[in-house]
Amino acid sequence: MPIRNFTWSKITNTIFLLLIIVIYQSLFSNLLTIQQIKLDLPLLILVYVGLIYGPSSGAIFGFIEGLLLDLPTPFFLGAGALVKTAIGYLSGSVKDNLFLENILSKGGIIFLCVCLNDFWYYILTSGFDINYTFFVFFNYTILSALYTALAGLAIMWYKQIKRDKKITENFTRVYDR
Amino acid sequence: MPLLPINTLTQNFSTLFKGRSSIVFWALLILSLLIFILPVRTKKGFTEIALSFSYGPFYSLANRIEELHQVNQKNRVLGELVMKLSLKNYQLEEERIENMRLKELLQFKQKSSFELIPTKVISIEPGRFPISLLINLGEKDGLKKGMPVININGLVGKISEVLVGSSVVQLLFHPNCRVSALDKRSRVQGIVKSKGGIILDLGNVPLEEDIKTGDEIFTSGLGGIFPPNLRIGRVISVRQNSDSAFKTIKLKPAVNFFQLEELFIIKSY
Repeated sequence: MPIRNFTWSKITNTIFLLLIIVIYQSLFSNLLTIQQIKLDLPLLILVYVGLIYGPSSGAIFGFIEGLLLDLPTPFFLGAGALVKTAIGYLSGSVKDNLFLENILSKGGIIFLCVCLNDFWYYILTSGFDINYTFFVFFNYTILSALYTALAGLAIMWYKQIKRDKKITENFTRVYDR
Repeated sequence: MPLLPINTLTQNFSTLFKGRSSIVFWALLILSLLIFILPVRTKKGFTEIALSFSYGPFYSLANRIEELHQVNQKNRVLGELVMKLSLKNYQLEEERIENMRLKELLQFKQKSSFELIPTKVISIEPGRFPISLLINLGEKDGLKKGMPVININGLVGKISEVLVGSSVVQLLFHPNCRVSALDKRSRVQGIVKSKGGIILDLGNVPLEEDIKTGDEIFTSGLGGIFPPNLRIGRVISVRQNSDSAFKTIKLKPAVNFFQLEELFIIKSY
């Protein structure tokens, strides 16, 4: 039964996260884009899933998310899935490494994943046009990766502060009885 | 310690070909590749259905929000336009009324037998009842103290003070104003004066004289200041006083002293 519960929670979490992605892509993506530099929230979520659940889950989530993001551009259907499966697997495979205790390392992983994702995606969709890919990479991808990493760091810091506060409160409750 | 050690990366690279997760990874990678190389027509059919289920509701919501935003903006622009147009309309209406008034004044001036100087009211002395006002002509325009002031309805008053570029007009309501008058019907004479308020008195009319309510009172021209035949007002009440030798006669002025804008000064008659 615990395994079954765990699987259900995973599925509901996945559906919830995919819903967030769809809502973000359709309603808020443009609002959070600054000077054509977009916040890659779907990738942030993918890295989060990978880091929390591991490589298999990361790859599966990446595949579904990639397909979902490819829907508006049927010509490239599969390209996003391909790239995001790899990114999900990659982020999941560093899950158990101790260096990830440091929040900055997680920020670095997010930055690296956005860079890899965009590079591979543009390579695939441009028909291996290196010049175009590098143009996009240096003009938009790096800034977008930085923006996404900073957003991720902000969220993680906020969560850490909340967690630390909760732990402190629990300790106080124990000792002040 | 570096943020991302090299040995960690090499270890991760080796896991690409080992374990259950690597099978899932490679299977999904191959599946993605197969989807990617599918014919566009097949992909289109699939994406159209999937899009309508996934993004469709949110796209229509986004469209609705965008539409609302546009309607809101349009409303604001139209609101400003309505305000500007109503202001313009108000100005045009004002100009139309002014035009009509000026036309009437012109006709009046052409018909009149007097030599008239048109003038405009600059300000009216504040108070419950207007007793004097300021006009925009003065000494340099040839105005002199005592000149009668009229409008198209009748007698307004006389010039009591002449300045360089403006003049003070003493109205019929002024306590010091006296006008020699006569009844148009019976030719009975009297003196019009004000005792305060918006009603004039026709005094010095003996008890036996014939004056009735509704009679029109005009200037008689006997005082030497005002020319004859200028309308002053209409009799609204006549009372006989047993303890006085004169009747108490009340007049309603022919001129509306609360709406004075354009006036005429009688230069000569």
